[in-house]
Amino acid sequence: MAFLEVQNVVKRFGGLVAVAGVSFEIEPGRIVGLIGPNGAGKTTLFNLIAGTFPCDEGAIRFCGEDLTRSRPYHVCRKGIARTFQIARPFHEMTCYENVVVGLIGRDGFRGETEARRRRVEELLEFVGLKDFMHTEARHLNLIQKKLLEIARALATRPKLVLLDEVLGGLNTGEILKALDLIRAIRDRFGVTILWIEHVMGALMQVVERLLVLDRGRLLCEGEPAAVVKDPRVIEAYLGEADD
Amino acid sequence: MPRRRTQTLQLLMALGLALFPFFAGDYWLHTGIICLFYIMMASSWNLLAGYTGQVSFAHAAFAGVGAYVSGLAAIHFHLPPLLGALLGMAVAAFLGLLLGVLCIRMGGIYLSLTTLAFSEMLRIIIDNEYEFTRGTMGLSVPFILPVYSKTTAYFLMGAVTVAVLCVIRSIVRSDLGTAFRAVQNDETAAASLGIHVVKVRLAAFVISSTMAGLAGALYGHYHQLITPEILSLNLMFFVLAIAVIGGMGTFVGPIVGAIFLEFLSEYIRIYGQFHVLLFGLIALAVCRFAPQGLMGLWQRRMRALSS
Repeated sequence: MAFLEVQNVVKRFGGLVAVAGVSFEIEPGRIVGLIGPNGAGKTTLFNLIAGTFPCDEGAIRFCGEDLTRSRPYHVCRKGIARTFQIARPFHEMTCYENVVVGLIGRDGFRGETEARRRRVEELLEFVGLKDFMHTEARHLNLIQKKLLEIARALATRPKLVLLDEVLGGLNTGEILKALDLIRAIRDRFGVTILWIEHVMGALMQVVERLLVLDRGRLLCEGEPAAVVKDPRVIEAYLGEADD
Repeated sequence: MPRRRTQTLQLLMALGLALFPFFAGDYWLHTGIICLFYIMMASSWNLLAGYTGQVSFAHAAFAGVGAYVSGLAAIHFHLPPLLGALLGMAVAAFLGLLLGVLCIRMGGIYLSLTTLAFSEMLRIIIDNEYEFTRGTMGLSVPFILPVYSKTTAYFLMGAVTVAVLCVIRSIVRSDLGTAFRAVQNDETAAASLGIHVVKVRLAAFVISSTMAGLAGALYGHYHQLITPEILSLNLMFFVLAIAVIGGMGTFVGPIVGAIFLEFLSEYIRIYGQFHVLLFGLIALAVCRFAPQGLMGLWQRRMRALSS
């Protein structure tokens, strides 16, 4: 039984085929990168896995359960959390409340307890937002908003996290910190990570496997070092070589 | 504000409200009772519109449902008004559920228009089913209590209002309230965190309709006359104005708004048609200078004072 199994999924928007039959499997405990040129269908693929859009064809199975037709809240409760390409924190709510929403979503309405309060503080401390616990999310900067999304996603006790471009807009120092955080998500919480990123240099330092999407198809997959040397990948990014 | 001062203020207010019937004349007592009705209406509408962002125009219609169900039950089955109010509440809750299921998946303006249509349809039916509802003549119904007394009615309405406000406050502070605000802030993000958005929005819709049904039934039996006026858009917009001018999405806003607007409308009633104009001007001024309502103004002022 595969951990995450994506089988021949297709998504069309009118005449445009955004995802044109993609299949892959992910093993538990890995950090897997998902790359590809703009418009390759990476975020659409995330939206299909997370249930935001229904698949037109194909199947998605997670830990032996069929999630092909599942709605987003159900996918989350089964153990797949996500962040968004453009951060979407609950702006009018404090960081603390933002994380509480994740706990409520996973466990139901159980009310505030001492254990829950500790859990929220722990998560905010983990991403480095403890000092902003009672600050409304709209006052955070871009990086902090992304960190808050990660804390919120972890609050749902996921087995798999889908990270959509966490490093965009960060400087070198911030990227290094973020990389440590991403490793820690896996090492400390035992969460598998599927990660879309454009900052290749950084991605290569962390991921153990790479998937490359191009024009809605899976171009190739495998060891990061081998994948980036693959002529098909170079062609997708840089265009065909003139002979 | 220091805790001590807040508590003293609350105590003074409670005392003032308790003593109000003994120094207010008949007329102002009546105004006070109507005011309590509007506090319930605006606060429960605020729970829906201010905390989950669903601007429903059917709130007055649900008050009408509560009033007519309770009134008809009293006339045809001799049900005591207080039991009738419970029945009215239940029917309002049920209709709220049906309307909610129908239009909850639509957002924003579509929800508003559907609820507006529902509200007008209901009003037209009640207007025209003369045999049953006595149309615009209105239903003559028994008083809420066995013995007629405005003072007792005031305390009954007051107790129910306090109860409704307590329920609203505990909902807002509970996990359900957190889910409400999450859904209002960003539905997609809330769903991605395991929140069942449709259920949460539906819960808000049903809870607020139930409260409107209760408020409407008590209001009808207090007046002893139930007319389609309760379901009118006039009343709906008055409730909306109260919540907006008081401050949507705050607990105190609708209460302050109801007291302010209801008493104000009594003072400017003598100007006849012009009182509508004055209302419009106030609403305009609030939108321009205090977009968060009177409560927003107050909070800004407190912050300026403390810093």
